[in-house]
Amino acid sequence: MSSAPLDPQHPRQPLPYLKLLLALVAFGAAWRLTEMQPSALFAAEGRRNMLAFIGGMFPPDLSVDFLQRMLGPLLTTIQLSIAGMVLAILIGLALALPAARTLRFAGVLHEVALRRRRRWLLAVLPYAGARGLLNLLRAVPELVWALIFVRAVGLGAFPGVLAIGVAYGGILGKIYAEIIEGVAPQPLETLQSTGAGKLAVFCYGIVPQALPHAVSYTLYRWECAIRASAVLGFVGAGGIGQEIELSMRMFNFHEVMTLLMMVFGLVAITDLISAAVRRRLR
Amino acid sequence: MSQAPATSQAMSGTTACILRLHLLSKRFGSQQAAVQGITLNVRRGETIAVIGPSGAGKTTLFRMLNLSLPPTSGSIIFAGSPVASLGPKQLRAVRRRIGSIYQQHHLVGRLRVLHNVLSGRLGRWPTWRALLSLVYPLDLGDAAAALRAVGLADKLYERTDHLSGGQQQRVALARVLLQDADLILADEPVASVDPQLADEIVELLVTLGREAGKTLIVSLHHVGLALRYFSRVLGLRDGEITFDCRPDEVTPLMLAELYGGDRVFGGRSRQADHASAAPAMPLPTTCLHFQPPATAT
Repeated sequence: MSSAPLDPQHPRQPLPYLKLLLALVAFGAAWRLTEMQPSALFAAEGRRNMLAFIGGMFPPDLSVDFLQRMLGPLLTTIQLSIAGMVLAILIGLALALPAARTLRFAGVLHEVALRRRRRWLLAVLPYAGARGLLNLLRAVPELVWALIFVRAVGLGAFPGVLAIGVAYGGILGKIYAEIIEGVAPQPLETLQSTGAGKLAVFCYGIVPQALPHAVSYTLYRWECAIRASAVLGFVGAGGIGQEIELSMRMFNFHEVMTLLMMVFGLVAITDLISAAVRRRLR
Repeated sequence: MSQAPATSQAMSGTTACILRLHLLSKRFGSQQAAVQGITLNVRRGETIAVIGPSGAGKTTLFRMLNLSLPPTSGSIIFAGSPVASLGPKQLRAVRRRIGSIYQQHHLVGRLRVLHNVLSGRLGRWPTWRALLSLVYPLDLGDAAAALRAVGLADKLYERTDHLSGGQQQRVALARVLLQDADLILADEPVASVDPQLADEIVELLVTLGREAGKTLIVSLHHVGLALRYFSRVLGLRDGEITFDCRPDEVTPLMLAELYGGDRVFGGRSRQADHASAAPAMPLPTTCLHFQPPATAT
């Protein structure tokens, strides 16, 4: 028995600090290329403009008339985010099922299928297709999706719904696929050993394990969708964002402040709801 | 390795033998084989304990026996049909007849107890019934009866991961009861519960199995339990069977050789054994009355 300090399976890295060095180089390059100038924030002109902007925000416009007028856009934003998320969940689920490796060609459920090359091909193609599509949906920013859909279906909340649905569908699909791949395989093997079919194994073994993570992440994304729908308003996708853009353009910064407070309130409420749901799911 | 002799043997003795293993081996990658060349005949209604040190290949053997892991070579013949030649549908049908209990029970913790118990029916139910049962539990009476049999009648609607380890192991037992399998495999079912509970669970397993005329193969850490409750004891070491005897025929010497002879006999390692002229692993001590029943009939 020789207790060699060098494990042959884990040879010592030749340059242990190489990764740290690479990270520093990347950071330095990013700093240079983005022309970071923190001092510009505090230069005289920048300071004056900032002060004018922030000063103009106070006091926020809390007149009954304005608040009443903003009630509609506020509701639109909420509805936009919910409708967008429903679409995103549908797209995400539809793409996650073929994109989950363990459901396609690896893992407990496939030791028999693996022996047949034809099935292997039938599994790999949908996998690659779904992963590719998911990457495409995520690669295009939601703002660009909004611009595309505004062109396609006109101004209003509907292009916003489509933009959130498609962009977030890509994100949710990837996360769902990874959650499905990450469930403990032993209970699946146990279920399979009782003679259960694949769909039954999925519903008894994978769904209960994956559900809390999927729901929790979906709720977090809903919170993001509310913030995103505020931004999407800038390009004409309706809701509170459109009002922020209008007020900004008219230099009514006190109205902007009110609207930002509304967005803040919405996000806070979403957070409370998702925290409550997560507590119940535990 | 040719599978022909095993297959023809199976044709002759299907009634008495529920399970036949012929030169069964499993190798993971380039490592030493986890299970090598196990040949074994299991008659209906036998209660077999498999004992041996950890790493002897018990879990690998069990995963091959419940058809979760395909062997590298050799054959498994269940109730007369060679498993390797089965299609997916027949494979499901055979799996339904083999019930499994694991050391870490491997239940779905987030499901309620009743669904984990009812999952024993998944091999029998068509898919639509399986899905319906998640919403509107079917065969609830049977699930309750199985839980009563293992002494957990009041836990039907509890969430499974809220139960203690011993209780979860009983839930796994109830699931196997509901599955109504012909062969019950239990891999270290009591390794993670305290000794007194271990005794209770093994006794429960053997009693319930005997009552229903099931064949039982249970791997155990605890030699005492193996000798007390089972009709046949197998010693497994380094993936090979070292002895195959009735409990009263098991000698302290057999056990000493099974559990690391090096420790008992003063630092003689198995590698040294290989180098010496004596055979590294003595042939399995087999008791004659457990010879293949094909010759007996």
